[in-house]
Amino acid sequence: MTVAILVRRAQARPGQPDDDVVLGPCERGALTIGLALAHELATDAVAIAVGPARREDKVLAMALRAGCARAVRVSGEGVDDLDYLGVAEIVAAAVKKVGADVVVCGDRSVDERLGALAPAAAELLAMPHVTAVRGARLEGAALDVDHHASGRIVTLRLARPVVLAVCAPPSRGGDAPSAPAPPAAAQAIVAWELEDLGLDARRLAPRKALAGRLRPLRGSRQATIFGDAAELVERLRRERVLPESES
Amino acid sequence: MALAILGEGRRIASSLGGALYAVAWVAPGADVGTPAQELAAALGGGGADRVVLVAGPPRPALWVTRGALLARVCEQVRPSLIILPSDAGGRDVAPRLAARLGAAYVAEPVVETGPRGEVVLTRAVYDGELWRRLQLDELDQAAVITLSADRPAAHGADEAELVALGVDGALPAAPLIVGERADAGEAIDQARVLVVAGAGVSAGAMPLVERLAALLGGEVAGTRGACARGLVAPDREIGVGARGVHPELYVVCGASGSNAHLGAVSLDAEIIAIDRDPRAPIFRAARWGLVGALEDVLPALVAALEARP
Repeated sequence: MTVAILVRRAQARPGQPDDDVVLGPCERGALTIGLALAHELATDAVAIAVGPARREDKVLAMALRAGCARAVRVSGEGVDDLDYLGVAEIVAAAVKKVGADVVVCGDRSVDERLGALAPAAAELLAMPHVTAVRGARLEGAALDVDHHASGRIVTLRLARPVVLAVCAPPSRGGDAPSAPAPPAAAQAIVAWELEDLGLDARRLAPRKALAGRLRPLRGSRQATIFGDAAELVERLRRERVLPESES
Repeated sequence: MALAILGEGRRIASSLGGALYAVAWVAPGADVGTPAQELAAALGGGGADRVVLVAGPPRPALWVTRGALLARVCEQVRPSLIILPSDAGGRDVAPRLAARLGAAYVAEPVVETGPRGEVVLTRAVYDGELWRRLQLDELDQAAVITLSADRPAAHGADEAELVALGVDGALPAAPLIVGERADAGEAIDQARVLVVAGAGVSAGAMPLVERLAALLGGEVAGTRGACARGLVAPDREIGVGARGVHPELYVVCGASGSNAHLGAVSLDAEIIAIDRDPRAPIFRAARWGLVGALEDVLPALVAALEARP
């Protein structure tokens, strides 16, 4: 069995890679935890991305360098326009083809921030899932998973197979995943089309309408800039922006 | 939380001309008799038309414990819109329920009613540059949404019909809880005022950030950059995937305003930005701003706050 790690390049605008951010914080956490689990399970980690090569190959190469044994890119007509469930269907089909029984992905992307991919893929894979995961480790044949609930970190013991949606790793500086990495990764990225997964773009197309129409933000907002702090505080007091407890 | 969600549900149901069901998890035995009637009255007062009580809520409130029962409720009620709270449990359950139903899913939308009574869900994406817009009456499928609790409650009839759906059956086996500890950063979640240090804050300026927070009765938090440098404890990091916050006032010191940071801050927070770069994206998200070196601006701001009017 294999650990599948879903990676996805952050986008500044739809279809446009964000040059400043390659992997979002949650995807970084997923890569770290996924590689660590693969190491504990003495199995391979496979990175999976959905989207065009020009955007996703950079994160897949990063995943290979970090220690993934293989990298798979799934592309196809219109996949960028699908809603969460359309993308989840592609992800689920890729996970089945890879043969993973632990699936790790980021809890939320920095651009859409929907947080739906892991639960939806788990539904299609008929696997249990846990979101808001802060850590996971092997405990016998099961996994101990740290879930962040309101004000608490609850550790759950779950049998495999399982899908984990991982939050950002604790800040320790640097962007490199902390899992052990192999000396060099010269592996190629495997490209799959939807047809390779038994999927039909026409059948997925109705999910485009459920993503919601994209609209530009009306008007451009700009902060009111003040010349000095006293002027700002006076204005804030006048408009009752400051809390009454201000002391 | 529940009454705020119920209030928004009441307003949407009235716009759509539909009935509002409240689904509540209650302790074993509390789904019948006087406790059930009292709860139904309370939920009716919050706007519910009908109430479904499900006994024996297993912990934690996740899909692995509650999802199957909630799905059974939806199979019987066949709602066109399902609203869950935007807390850890709601964010775990809602997208999977949506997937099971083949529904649209929108996390924390702004809910608006159009001139024809149509209900429109919008949410900011891509750093607030774009909006996604979904109109409920244009959907063939149901929709599932999560909502935060910062919404006004509604007033209903102080009574609601108790509906027995018989969905309790055998509860799914809950996962074993093998540990539980407090989240050291919980104060950040509850704070009405947050003063946030970004990567542009020097170690020497941190006492000023802390003083500013104290003067405003708020908490100190940090962006990933500040936490990575050890200026702010990691459990006080604000960012997508780290900690999402819903403050009333959000003072940002020395942070550029990236997607990864501001994506975790509620849209209705009043943002004050302080940075040396007037072109920083934070000034497009903020309502108020001060431009200058933090070492110059922060002492002046602290002094201005300390000087009583």
